[in-house]
Amino acid sequence: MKSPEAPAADVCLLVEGTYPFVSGGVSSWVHDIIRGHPDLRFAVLNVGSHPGAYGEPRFTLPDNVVGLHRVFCQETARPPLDGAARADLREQIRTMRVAVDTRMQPSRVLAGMRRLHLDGSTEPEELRAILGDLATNDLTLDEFLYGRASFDLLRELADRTAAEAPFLDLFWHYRAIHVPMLRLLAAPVVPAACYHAIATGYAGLLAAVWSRRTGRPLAVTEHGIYAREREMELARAEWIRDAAETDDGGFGLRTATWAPHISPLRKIWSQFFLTLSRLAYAQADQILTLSDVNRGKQIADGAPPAKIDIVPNGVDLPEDPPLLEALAEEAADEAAGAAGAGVIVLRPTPLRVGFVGRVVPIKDLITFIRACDLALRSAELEVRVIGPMDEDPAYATRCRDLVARFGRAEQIAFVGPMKPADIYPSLDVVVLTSFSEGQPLVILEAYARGVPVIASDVGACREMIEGRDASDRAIGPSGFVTRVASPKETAAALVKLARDPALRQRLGAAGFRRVSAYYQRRDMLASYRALYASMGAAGAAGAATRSIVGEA
Amino acid sequence: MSSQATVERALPGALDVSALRRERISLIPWVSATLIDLTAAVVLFRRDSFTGALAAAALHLAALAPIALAALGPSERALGAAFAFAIPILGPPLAALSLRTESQGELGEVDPEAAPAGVEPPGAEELRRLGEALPTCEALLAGEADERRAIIATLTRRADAGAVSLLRWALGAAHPDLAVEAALAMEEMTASFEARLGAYRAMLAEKPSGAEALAAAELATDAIEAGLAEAALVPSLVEEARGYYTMALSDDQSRAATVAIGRARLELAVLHPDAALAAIDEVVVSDGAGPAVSAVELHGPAGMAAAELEMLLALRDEAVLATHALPWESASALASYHPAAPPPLVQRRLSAARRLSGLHPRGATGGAGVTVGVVRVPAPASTREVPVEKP
Repeated sequence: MKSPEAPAADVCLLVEGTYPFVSGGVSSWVHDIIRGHPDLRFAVLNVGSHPGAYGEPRFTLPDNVVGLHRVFCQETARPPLDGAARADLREQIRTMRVAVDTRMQPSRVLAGMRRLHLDGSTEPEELRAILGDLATNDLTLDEFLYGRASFDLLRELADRTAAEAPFLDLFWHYRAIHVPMLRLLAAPVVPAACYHAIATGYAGLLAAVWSRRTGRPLAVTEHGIYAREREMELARAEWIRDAAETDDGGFGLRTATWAPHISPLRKIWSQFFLTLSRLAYAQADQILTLSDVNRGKQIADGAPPAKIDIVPNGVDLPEDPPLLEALAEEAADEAAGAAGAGVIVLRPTPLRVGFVGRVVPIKDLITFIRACDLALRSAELEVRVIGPMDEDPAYATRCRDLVARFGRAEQIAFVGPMKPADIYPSLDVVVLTSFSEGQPLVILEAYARGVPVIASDVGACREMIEGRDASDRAIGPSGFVTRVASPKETAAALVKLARDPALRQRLGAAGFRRVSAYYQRRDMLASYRALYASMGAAGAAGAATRSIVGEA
Repeated sequence: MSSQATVERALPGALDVSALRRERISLIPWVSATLIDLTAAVVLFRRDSFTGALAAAALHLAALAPIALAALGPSERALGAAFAFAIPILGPPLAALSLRTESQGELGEVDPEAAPAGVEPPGAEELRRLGEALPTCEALLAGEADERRAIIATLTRRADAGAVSLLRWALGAAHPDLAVEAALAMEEMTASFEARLGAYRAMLAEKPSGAEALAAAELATDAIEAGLAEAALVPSLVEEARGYYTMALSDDQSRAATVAIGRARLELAVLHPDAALAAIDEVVVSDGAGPAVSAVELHGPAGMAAAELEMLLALRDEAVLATHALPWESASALASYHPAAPPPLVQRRLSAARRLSGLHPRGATGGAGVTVGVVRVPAPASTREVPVEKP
């Protein structure tokens, strides 16, 4: 996986599927962390799905990245075999099975996998013991796929956890869960003074295993909560049936009351992802997250509270900050004027509304478009969707079609990606209607330019808009929080801002104060600098040669 | 090892009836009984006397002996003996034939009091769960995360008006995770509907076809009925669906009943009961006192026509009721009102209509696998090509 001459790094960052191949909040954050510590040498390990799943890197690697390593969970899908090849393969497997069963000693990895599924371990010591088993890497992929002991474990799993599931389904799920894990366990360690996993999951597992093998410290930063996000994705696998269905069109006995019957396959996956998180939490010296909301979720998932620190995202304040005092005074004057006159001050020009982000389903652009259509019936808006549209072209087409069907093509424009410096000066309000967020940088960037925000109540959005503690809340709200997937609430907030420029300015001023007080990039970098120093990252300036290496 | 031995090892003392049934029944007793009966017949016809008759009767009774001594279960022995006694000569072979016949030509008698076929009575575990169950809304709020997701997954699969109503209710819940999961489920269902409708539109634009038009119209009707269609776009979608129904009918007049059902459902869903009545009365002949049956029975297989007729009459009742529900308001005055669910009286029948149409949505992913993070959750083994790992 890595070339022998790859120089040792001060920090090895382990990411799952993101940096530098996918654009987005987490990738931008990783890029920022690396650029913010030019005196540290970073190695980046990207845990990918399969070769070819990602295109070219979306980020230019900073000079202090000394190695980019890749490891894949799955092989590229192969075409089905024809009859002769299948027969040949059957013979190979038979030979392999005999060889495996002959040489197979009790495997600690297999024992660890057994405990991972069957023991329900939550105590740190038990989890570290499982990690110790997995770290031995004494089970090859062939032994797992064709060995008797592995099949016996599958049968035990079937008996104890999935008696109701079709055995053949369980068989393939058993492989789908463990093959990626074994491929990761077999990856050679990237030498580094400390390891920093930017998620739990497979990247967190690998970081924990390497930390265990090398005795180097480990930090885990979670932006979104991995196990919860995977749960949401698992919910889409509708065929993992959770409840018996009647064929009476949905009006039978079972709709009167709900008798939950959860699919054992779903439970196995959920438990597996949760245990991956717990393994990383148990091994980590420090766990970091972005907000109180996330901290609560991590504790609920088994993270020791004493290990958790909150380090919010941060942005640089602009060199030409919005005239805060002038804004506030203007806002106060206008508010007083409006109150005195008993009328609402109307802005003569349209409200400039921006949606800033990738055009993908998780951002729920459909709700944003619906909200704009509703608001346009009561206010004049100039709407721009700013962000890449190539990640999910089908979704982007759907969004464009919806705009066309509403007949709003003139008012709602898709402008593609723009430089942050060019985005916010041309906007009066930023809207975020996502289904899921961590702590969106978009909100902080908008605040830094004195632009208020309307955001759905996900992740840390509420505390970013309303304040997270008493002193923060004293600043006042810096926008509106709406329910998820609620075009009406978003539209109402848009109309309110369109009709009340003074309110807009007050909210924008509060946003600028909030970002200045709590969300500066320099504070975030200082926190991580201290973290890396505590973990023994030396900080040898002037990085040596860089190695860009692929999968083993 | 025989299957019987396997069962006995697993459960000492138990007799594996299924294993016994699978074993071939020996022909010797049946052949012997037939031969003895044949002998009795010969004796009877050659010695035309009372003693001959007595001897033949004795031989006929003796023919029961091989069957009585054969290695058969008690019920099989009784059946064989009854056949052999009641039908001389032919009885034993008939009995052997019936005992050697497995799952073929069996006659069943339907008990009119029994539950409908295909519906299994609830088992003990299910009864226990039902006893402990909460109403769906409470379970969504109070249940564990796993239960909540299980409910939402099931609602997504149903994708009918009731399910959509529940999901919309969940969107407004104070529980943030529940709201997000409900929103994702709604988005998934909407995306699925729009993708399928888009596919039909493309197919119809490329090559107009009555069958595709009917499918597109019924999909749009389902979505409007369930409340999945974008509210602001419902009027244009209704117009589109009406056009598709017209196209489907003009392509094939034998679809008249199916089209009328779809049109009636569509018009009822957008509160145009008068238009629904008109659509139904185009195919249901009325003598003035009430609807008659003849027009529907003209087309299609008899069973389907009867089902369609039943549906049409039910929809007509509903349309009549809806027309008279608010006599001071015209249907058009209600056109902007989009009901959360179809009127309860026809819910059951509408569900049946969806089954007729075969377009009831079953979720966005169908039987496909899904990507979870960087790994792939496999599709059901029964529906996918099985990959083979190369050593």
